[in-house]
Amino acid sequence: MTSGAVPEDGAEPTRKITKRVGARRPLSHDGRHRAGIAERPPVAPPPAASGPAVQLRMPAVWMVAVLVAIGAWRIGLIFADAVRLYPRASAIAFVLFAAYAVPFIWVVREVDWLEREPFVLLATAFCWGGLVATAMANIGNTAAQEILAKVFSPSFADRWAPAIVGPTNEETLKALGVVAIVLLAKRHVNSVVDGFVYGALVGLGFQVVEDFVYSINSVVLAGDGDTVMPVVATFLVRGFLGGLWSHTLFTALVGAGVGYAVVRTDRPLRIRVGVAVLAYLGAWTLHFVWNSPLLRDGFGIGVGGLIAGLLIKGIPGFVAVLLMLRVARRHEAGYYLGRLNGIEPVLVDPDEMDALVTARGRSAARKRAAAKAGLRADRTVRRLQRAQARLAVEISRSGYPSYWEAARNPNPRTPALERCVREILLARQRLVALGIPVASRYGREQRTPLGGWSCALAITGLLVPGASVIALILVGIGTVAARRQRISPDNRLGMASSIGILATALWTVVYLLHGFSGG
Amino acid sequence: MLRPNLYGSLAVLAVVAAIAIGLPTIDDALPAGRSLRAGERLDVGLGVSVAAPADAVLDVTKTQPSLYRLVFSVRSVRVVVEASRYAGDLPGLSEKLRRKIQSNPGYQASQQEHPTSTVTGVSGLAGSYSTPGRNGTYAVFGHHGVGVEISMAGDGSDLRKEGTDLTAMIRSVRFGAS
Repeated sequence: MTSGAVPEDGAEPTRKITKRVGARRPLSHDGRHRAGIAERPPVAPPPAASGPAVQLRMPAVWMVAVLVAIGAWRIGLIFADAVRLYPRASAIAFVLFAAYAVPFIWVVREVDWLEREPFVLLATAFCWGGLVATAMANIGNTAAQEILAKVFSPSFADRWAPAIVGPTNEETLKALGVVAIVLLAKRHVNSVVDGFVYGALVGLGFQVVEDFVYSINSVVLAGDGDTVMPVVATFLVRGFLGGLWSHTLFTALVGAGVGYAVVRTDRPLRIRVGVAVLAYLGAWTLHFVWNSPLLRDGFGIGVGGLIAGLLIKGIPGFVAVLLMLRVARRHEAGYYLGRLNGIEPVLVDPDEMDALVTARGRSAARKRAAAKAGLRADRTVRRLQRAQARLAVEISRSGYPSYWEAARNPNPRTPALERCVREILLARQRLVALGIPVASRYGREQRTPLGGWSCALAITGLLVPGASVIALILVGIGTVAARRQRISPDNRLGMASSIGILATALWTVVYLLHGFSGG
Repeated sequence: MLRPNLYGSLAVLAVVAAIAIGLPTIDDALPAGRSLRAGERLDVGLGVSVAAPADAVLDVTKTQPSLYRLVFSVRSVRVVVEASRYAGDLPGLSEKLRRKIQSNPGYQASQQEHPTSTVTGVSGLAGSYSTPGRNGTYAVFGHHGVGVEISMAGDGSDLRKEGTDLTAMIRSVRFGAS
């Protein structure tokens, strides 16, 4: 697990050099790419790809298995009751919230793009959130709420229990899910981003199962039998108005803190524990604010006020966590892409490395290729980027600080590393045939008045109904115009598109709910 | 390697147990009832209130002001009073409550209903139902867009013994300014 030039077994790397593909001495200008932040140590080298992710002799395996079995039994009883009493509503709720999880999983996988986590650990994190945390929170929350009602009053418990009990029990139980992953396979938590990814999946599991239970509760409360409308209303409220800044986000923050505590062994223990505790408190506070009765009356000005209240409660935490994630991802990208220092441009061009650092950069490079040579080029650039990322991870696994060292000292070069090189060369060959020698993000750019206007209108659309629709139309016009001119679209169009879709979805939900409640 | 893992796993188990076993144990150790004075007016929500019958004990754990729900008991009889915004007519409100009652396994509402009214003159409908091993009665009232549903169930003997007080409680329902 060392990152020096000497292999783990201590043997001097042999000088046997066969065919060196892509080894060149690092040039001074290589530092211009953003991977220059690489040499800070925010990431531990990932473990070898071979071998099981989890060892059965670990006590944690049995602890997790027992708790998941108990959770599955309890949640299974709730699901079975729901299906028996309300089969139609249960089926719709199941389908809606299962589908709802898909985009979240896609985003988490995108965050986890560079060094992918083993499926078995991701699934365990999801199961912990969906089975263990929900089942235990179900018991603990009821008890804690009743204790508050007994010690204070029913009114106090009714008003404040969700804000006090929810964060305390739920964030603790979900945080334990990330701790369980560390106990199961600490070597697979090798960056803050990894902690974020595991935390997000624990939170997502919790969110999906909890939303299903809430849907069925709303059917029971409505008292109209096996009807679907309460399920749809719950889906709109909990899925859209509260879904972005909910359990997935909270636990991702906790997971990032745990990841920091695990990875940053260069820092004193008190700092590492302090960061993990701060992350937990941050998630607790976000959860508290979201569940609290504050701003629930929407300033007394109707639907607009309610929406404003929800946005004020949700957006600051959402933005803060995204900014933290951005920094963590850049550190991770910096570490892995720093392993590519000194690489031959035919394998990774410095401009391509610059594009690899961020999701937006990768996307911009694909869009540029697509604008020039169609969807086939888009797919080929995606394949190239994937292979380049795998190469970076394989180099860090090999224990060499960079490709330059790895290629200079093949010991021997691992088959995985050779495979990555072959994949890159194959993708490069195809791209050259398509007239794209370098899959960089730079092209004839791209700043248009439409980009600025669409962004402004999309942001306005969060408060003014209809503005986001105009923003989306402008985004469409801008994208089509760029395609016609065979240039990359203004990057701000992407941001306007995301905000515009969010704002349009929010207002659509508001109108639908307004309709459900009979105006 | 194994020992830290074991200690860590035990620590995780301990925290889970504290939440899933410890909190319910503390909850069970605390009394859930609060005695009410006979005639004490209890707010249900949406401006609705009722007068507590003699020997009534408020269930603080099941009373939920945000859902406009009040739960108390008189001996073995458990009383649930709920208010809601309701724009329909009385038979519709009664039908809604009957459906809710009958959605519980083994609960059966009788077909016969009779008119009733509060002491302030708001008219309502009342009926009876049976649950496994217990008998129950219900009543609904509607006034100015607010509906009130009252259901109570308990031993037949207690229902008969407390019948007068419980009927008085039903008739004591007050709607805001009514």
